[in-house]
Amino acid sequence: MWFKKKRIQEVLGINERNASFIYPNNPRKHYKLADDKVMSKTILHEYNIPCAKTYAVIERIGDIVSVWKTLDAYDTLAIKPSKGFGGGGIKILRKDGEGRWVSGGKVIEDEQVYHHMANIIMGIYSLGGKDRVLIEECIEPHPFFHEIYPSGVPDFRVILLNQKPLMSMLRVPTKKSNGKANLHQGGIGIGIDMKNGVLTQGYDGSHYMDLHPDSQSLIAGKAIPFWEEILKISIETSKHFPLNYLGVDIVLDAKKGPMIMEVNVRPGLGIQLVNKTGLKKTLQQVG
Amino acid sequence: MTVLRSKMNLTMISKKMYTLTVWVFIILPLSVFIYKGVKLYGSYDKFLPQKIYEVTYQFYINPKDNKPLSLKTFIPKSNQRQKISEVHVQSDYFDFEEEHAENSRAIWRSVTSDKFSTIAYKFLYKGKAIKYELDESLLLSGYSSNSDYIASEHLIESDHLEIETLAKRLIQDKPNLKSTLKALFDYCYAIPKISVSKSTGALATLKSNKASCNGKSRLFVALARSLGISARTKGGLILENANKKTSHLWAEILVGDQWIPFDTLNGHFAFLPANFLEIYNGDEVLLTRSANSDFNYNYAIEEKTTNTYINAFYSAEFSKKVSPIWMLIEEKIISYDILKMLLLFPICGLIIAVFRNVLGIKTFGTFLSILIAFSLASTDFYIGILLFVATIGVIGLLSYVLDLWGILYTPKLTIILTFTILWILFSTLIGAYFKIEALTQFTLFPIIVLALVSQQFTRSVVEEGYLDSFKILFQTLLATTLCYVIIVSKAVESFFIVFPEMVFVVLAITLLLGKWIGLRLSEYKRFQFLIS
Repeated sequence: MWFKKKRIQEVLGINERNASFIYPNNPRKHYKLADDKVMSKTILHEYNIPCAKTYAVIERIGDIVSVWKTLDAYDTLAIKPSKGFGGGGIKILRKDGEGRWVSGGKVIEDEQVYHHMANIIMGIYSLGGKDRVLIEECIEPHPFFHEIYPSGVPDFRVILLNQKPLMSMLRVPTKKSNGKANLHQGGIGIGIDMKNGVLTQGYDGSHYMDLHPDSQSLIAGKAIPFWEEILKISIETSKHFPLNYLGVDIVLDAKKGPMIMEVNVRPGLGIQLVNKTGLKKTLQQVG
Repeated sequence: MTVLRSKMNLTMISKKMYTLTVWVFIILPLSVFIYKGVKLYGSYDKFLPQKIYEVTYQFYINPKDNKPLSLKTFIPKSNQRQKISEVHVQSDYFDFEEEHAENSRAIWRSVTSDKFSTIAYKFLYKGKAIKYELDESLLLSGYSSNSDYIASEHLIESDHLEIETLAKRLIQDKPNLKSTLKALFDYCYAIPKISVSKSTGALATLKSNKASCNGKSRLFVALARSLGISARTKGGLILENANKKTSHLWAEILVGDQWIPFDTLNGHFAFLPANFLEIYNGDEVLLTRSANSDFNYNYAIEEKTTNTYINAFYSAEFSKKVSPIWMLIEEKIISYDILKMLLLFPICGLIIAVFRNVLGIKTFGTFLSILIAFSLASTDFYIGILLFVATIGVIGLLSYVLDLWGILYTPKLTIILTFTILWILFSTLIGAYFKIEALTQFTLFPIIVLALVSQQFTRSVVEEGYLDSFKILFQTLLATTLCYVIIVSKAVESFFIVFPEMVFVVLAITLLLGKWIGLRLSEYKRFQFLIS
């Protein structure tokens, strides 16, 4: 272990992220705009920034049954806790050939859906606080992702400071991560050459790789479809949130293209490892 | 534009205020520290007492007639192991004089008085324990006695046949002075103890085979004298936080020109504890008075400090000289332990801040480690840690079951709190049943702390999973251990009690830490690839 002073100055640590990036740029009173998905989506809808269509928001347990009845017209949908974190409490529902709702390969009865929604409202996925159920359009991952790894929903993370993208990565699920794309849940992060919109290398928390560990498909050098569009909507998003240091999560839908998934006020620092670059270095380059 | 400028000014001002605050918090307390340090240096007592008590003889006299009255009592003198200072005498109708001979005596006299009167004789006692090693090469045959201390006297019947026979029997085959004395000592020590205020002689003690301090001491002296060893009784008080009437008698043996103490009641062989106040030599009566009055008395004793570092500087003027905070203890407005806890909290907080922001170690709650450390300070450290981890383990298991059942968050926490309390009650019951003392020492404070940690642990299991939660628990205990070391350190404790202003320096350092944006130690490891 031999540390180089210049390199150390390029890496952003938690202390500096909090003191110099988050505190001066993100007023605490606006955190909720990012932490609460229903509130984030209100802003996104207002400015016509592409995101999954909201089918319904349920605030009271008493409304669950009546609202659920109105959703029978859809074939797929996603149920999420508005203030959930780390992907907890998200259920993806699809109808099978006989019109029954299926989740995780099993038929799910209405009663089970009600129970899940009641749990969300009582705050089981959001640590104590009351929460709301967000029911929205289900994303159909773009074929581009099928080539890398066929299951789960991968997403892009773009970090922006003062509406300028600093760094980004693509998060892809693995067998180990059980469909989740989060780095610390076993997913892999893939670095992005932002100028050219090309994937660089994968990182699983300890090793770098050119191939996806499960599918063995080539990651390195793959061109990202809609890259300009992805950057554009992330900049657009950052313009309309009163938060100047942001991590914007974007998914790529097969039909609709890039859509904003969620907005993060305390984006993690692992992205530096994924891209083999310190955030402060890119900050100097972006200016 | 003007709005922007005024905002800029505000940031500038706030930055200057920060720097100013830090400097003030460092310079002012340091100046006070130096000023007080110099003053304290002057009151440093090389004597280094282990125990400091304020002792007051209190006498209450109600004359029966108008005839002259007198009251005499022995008063202590300073010697190599005790220092008597700050003597205050208070009496309203009596003339006071001191008489100095081998023993010092205070005498109060009144010519005529029929009024109820109180007398107080107050002094500060600073004392050290003293331990003598008797040389094995000292033989009884080579012992040269001082003839003033070998004669038989009233209640010390050293020439009585029974005492002489017993002494001879006890020292058979005893090769030297030390083993001889040990044999006599062990015999007296083994005599069953009773509490009587009446004077018991050596012979009476031997015959009845039961005695209090004075009977045992006299028998020990008589046995020694019968063998030609110079011995005497010694009178004094055992000092403890109390108002007491009972004085104490022990024995001394002259070896060379040194009187060596032996307490056959409490089993101190050639040893005198730090809280033994020596008052007079010989078989005297501590208190004598004329009979024509109703009389009462007690000895009011109060321990002034329990911290050896503070002892070295202590005087009655301590609170004036050192800090107003000491006054809070002196006047019993706040207890020493509470004050200590309050003053040590900031430094422990700083330790936690350094752990988190500089080392990058995760801990449960911000100040939970400190609370755990304080809980451990009131029980045995290792048993405390063991119980602690066991409790958390049980709670972890419970938490897993509750998750399986899908219990909602707040009810789950309530269940965990209740379970923690039941678990502790259960341990206490087990402890009481099997007489395991460590298990019965839970007080309210550690129980609440345990419940809090359990809650944090459960929450962490939800957020981070079991493996990471146990990692955090381990790191929490690491921080706890360091806080514990700080808390039980008498040096740190006395430093902050004597210099409470240093809390501001701790604050200043914390303020600096609050602006420190360097990489945490854990991040050097995490980002190793990027920086090496």
